[in-house]
Amino acid sequence: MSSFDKTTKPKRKKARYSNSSNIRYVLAGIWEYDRLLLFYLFMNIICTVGNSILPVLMPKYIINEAFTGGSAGAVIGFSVGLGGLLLLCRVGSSLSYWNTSNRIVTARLRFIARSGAKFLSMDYQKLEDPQTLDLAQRGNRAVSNYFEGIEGIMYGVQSSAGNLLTILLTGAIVATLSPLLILGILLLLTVNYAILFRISKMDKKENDALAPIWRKLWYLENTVSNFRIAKDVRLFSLRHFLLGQFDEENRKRLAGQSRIWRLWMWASVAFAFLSLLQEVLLYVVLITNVLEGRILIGDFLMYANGIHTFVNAVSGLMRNITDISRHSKYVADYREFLDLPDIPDGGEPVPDELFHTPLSFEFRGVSFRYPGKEEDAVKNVSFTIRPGERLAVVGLNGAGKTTFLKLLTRLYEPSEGEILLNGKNIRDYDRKDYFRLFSPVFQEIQLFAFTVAENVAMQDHGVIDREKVETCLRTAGLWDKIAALPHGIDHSLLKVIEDDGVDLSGGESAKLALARALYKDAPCILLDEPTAALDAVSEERLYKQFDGMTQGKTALYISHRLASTRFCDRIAVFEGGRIIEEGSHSELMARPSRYAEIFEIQAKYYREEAMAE
Amino acid sequence: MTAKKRTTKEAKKKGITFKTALPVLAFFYRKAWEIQKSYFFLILLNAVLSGLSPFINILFPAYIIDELIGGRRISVLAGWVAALVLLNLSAAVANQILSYFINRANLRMEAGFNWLIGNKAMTMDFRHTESAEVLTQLQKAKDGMGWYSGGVAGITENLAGILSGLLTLSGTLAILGSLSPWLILVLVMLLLLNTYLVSRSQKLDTLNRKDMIGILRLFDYYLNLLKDFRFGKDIRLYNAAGMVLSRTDQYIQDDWKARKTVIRNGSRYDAATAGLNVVQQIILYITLGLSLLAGSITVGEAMALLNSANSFVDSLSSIIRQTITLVRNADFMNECKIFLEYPSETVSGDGKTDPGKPHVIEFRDVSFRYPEAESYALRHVSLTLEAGRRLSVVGRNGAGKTTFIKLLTRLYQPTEGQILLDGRDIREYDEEAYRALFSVVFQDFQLLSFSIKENLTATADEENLPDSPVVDALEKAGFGERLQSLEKGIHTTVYRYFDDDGSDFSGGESQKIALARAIYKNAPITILDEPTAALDPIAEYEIYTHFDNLIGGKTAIYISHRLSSCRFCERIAVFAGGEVVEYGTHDELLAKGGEYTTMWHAQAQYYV
Repeated sequence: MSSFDKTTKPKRKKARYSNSSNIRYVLAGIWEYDRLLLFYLFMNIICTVGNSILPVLMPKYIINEAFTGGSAGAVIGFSVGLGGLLLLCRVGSSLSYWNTSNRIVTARLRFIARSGAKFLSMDYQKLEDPQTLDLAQRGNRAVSNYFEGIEGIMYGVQSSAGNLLTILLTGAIVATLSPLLILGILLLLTVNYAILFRISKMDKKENDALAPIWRKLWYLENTVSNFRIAKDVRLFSLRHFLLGQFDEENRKRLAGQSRIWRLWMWASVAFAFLSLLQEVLLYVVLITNVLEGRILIGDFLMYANGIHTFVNAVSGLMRNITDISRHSKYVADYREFLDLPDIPDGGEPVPDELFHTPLSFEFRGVSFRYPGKEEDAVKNVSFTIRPGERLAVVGLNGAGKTTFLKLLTRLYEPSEGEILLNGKNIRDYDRKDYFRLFSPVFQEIQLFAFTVAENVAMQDHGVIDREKVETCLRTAGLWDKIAALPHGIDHSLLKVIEDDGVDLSGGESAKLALARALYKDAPCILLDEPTAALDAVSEERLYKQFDGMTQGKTALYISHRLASTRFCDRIAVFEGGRIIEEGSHSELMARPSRYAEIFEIQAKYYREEAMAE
Repeated sequence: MTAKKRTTKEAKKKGITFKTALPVLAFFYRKAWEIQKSYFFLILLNAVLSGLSPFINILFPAYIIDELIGGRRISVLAGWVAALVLLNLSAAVANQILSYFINRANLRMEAGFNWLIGNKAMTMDFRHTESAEVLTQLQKAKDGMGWYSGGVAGITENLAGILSGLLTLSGTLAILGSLSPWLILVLVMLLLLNTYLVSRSQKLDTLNRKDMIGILRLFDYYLNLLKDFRFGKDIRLYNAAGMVLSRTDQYIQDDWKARKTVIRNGSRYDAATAGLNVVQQIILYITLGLSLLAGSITVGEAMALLNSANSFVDSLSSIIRQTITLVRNADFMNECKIFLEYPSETVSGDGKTDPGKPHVIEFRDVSFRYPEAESYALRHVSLTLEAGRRLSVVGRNGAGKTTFIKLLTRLYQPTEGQILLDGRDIREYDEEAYRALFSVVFQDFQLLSFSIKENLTATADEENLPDSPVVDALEKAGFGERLQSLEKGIHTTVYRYFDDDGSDFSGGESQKIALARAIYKNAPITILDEPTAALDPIAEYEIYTHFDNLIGGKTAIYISHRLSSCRFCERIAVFAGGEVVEYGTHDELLAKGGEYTTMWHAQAQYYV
């Protein structure tokens, strides 16, 4: 495991998407999902600029008019005229703000759904790969939060366009007074950014050092308040240990976080000095101009406001640029995730007759190795599953049983060798179509927070054959339980969606999974250890049901409990990735075999005479 | 769904007012006082500072302008400019330093309240931890302290905002009063109109947002489903992608429908507010312009008036907004108060126990009903567990086996009857002392994502314990071979939640570690609840054969679906429908031909 871990952390690939490519990608997404959003973004930019420029202009005209002894009519005219313009902009920005802020979220949800669909279309083998999950998690940052990633780019583009426009307009206004003032201010801003840049770098270093503490604290916070651990906490008195760790990590976090805050505190003090210089510069220039009679008092106010708007817009734009490139990194991860290979489409459809004839599978020298592992999980297996037979697959944990099953169903593709279905390589078939051949029941039974009927049919409620659902539930022995629910087969499972959703016990879940397999009614049935959680009597009933439902079908049964093999025509014994023995129960028992050995171990205690101890 | 919505709506209607918010604030600030006393001083200082600093930029620019128009003396102008920039500088620096200390204090507050929530979750009556209602409350408590309200830092910001707003308000009121008193009236009227609009829009907003939060929760659920590779197999092989994706699509549409209303209401009220604001600006400018024309005020005064009018409106509306938010945040935080105040009904004495001595436990006509349940989970159970005996508890799923264990370990208290330890009711013993007598491996045991060693020793109070008993326990539990293969041995982190070098153990391996933890605890009574479910036959066999070795001469209770394990036990208790229907040795019960015989043959038939 540990050697495997190291291989999962390769150096970050360089082939990433550029910032401009990511901006185009996001804009293309908006174009696809919601064109009106583009319009509202544009409207917002224009109105925001108006909102920041008009208050700069208003005092100039009104006060100059009043100061130079103009008419009351002109004062009122300027106030109402410019005010009306401002009103237009304010109303426009309200409308565009509410539209953009909500439409952006909806667009993000669509981007989330896009990556969600990817999880379903990607090759299953990729899904299990820790590297994929790592990438998915990183990519998820592009869509998981408000104002981040994809939203961040949308807001960044909007805001930078507005800032740029404001800079041009206010810059032009101020430049008419004194180009030198603009130059001086730009110089101060440069110093400001040099400091900011350095501090950000140090901040990132400190933050990286804090990251492990964050993760541990996140785990601890979730653990101390996790009810699933309540029994262990009480019986092993884990409280002191956990709270002790919690305090310890919080101390470290406070220390680290304080270092970061101190950094910013000193930076801000430096910024305050710079802004002092800026103000001094501004007042010196303005006062001289007034004293020398070059500008009126109203102009004084306009320029003072103008400079501040200009400075804000410039720092806003700088921030926009760093923000966009940060969000762009998330989007690049997101796109890399979407670039992972899908289940390959294509191949022939599985012919109809295969759904009605008994299936035979032949493994020819099949090996399989998990990515990053040094040893094959399945080694050079050659084996035939005969048409319509019931095959038991037994072996210890980690012997390769489940991998064998995943190869058979094409959740995995063999690293070497080939698998034939009734003589034809299964790779030739379209994979999704091939999946239709199997009715699996896996060890960990997964129930969905859908209705019972949907859980059985695994289809949208519109197309469900309700009678068939009932029949399958009856056969699986779960009907009485379901019929007693207030909404019958339309009752929801789990309490995620409906507060009155029903939670099924381990045994009931197994039965539901059985009903699911029955409903699909595929020609090949697979059971992967479904009895682990069942009591003796339920277990026996399940064996019998298995017997009934597999009539005339090819069936595979994986189990630790060798008793189950009695229902099977043949047994394949896995050990270390190989099939080491095969044959019927009596054949294997008749000769000295690994099977007989394991069987004896289990049987020993059930035999009366073994009690000598 | 509709019923649920109605009840939450009704609850909302009652709402929380400033008056009901007060006890919540008192509760949290009492705790905050315990965490850090200087917090209050820092907050007060910062509020005063931010309340007064706006006046620097209201007054001094006005002085400068008047001097520019009037005296035009360079030295005076320089003096005003210097005063302006230096005061601004000091205010900024002071604010930065105060913020640093306030940030630190806020972090302490956050950690402190997380600590309290965690501590409560770990000390509250066990029955609470199995209640869906309390689980929901726990989530509400965490959310309520988190991003919904910002926790103590959030309400403190509200309070400080109100305070500094009041300061600014009174200052601007003074300026306005001296220059143009009737303007105050106009502004207040506009503001009242504005507040009415804001509160209406907020009400609509919260309603819609509640809906949207519900929708997004479901959306999240489906997305997590897609990512989970355990579901991936079923979704692919059953071709269920369409079902799941159509659901996510539907939620996006539902969310969008809710958003459309939000957009309509939001932009409408927002535009009205903006309109009012512009009207206010126009009135101000006209007033100033005309006053200037009439010569009743100077330009500097006009500027001061303009700025204080704006500050006046800003601070007043900020006070109103902060008060509304404060009340709403207190409402969120009240969820945490409710959680922290869940009552305890546990009766616990202070009797001491001696883990070194053998103990006898007796169930005397014990019946038990889960809280809120209608029927009994256990009925009239009477049985005695002699010291050093091994008892096997068998029965079908739901027969009451696990409930029996929960009562025995005092996670629940009997509804009727009593449980005795060495002749004394177990409630007379100190709870922790009593639980020290048991080493339990639960069916759904949980390991901590700490090192293997810490998992075993976490139960002990001391630090720096020697390694050898840890290794010994792991070996006894059958983990020895795997341990050798681990580079860091017993210092390997279990799972990889936060440690990339951690190791993800299989179900069987985890079970062995849990077993080792029980062995390490070395308590006089061992309880194993289905300890072999995740193990293969060989591993199971090893556990069986080492069973004697594992528990030594201790008392042991063994729950298993594999009846072969009964062979190791001197007594077997068969549970059915909450009752002990059969009790005796394997041979006795087999001879009886009852429930045990049925179960035994269900499994044994295949092996003989």
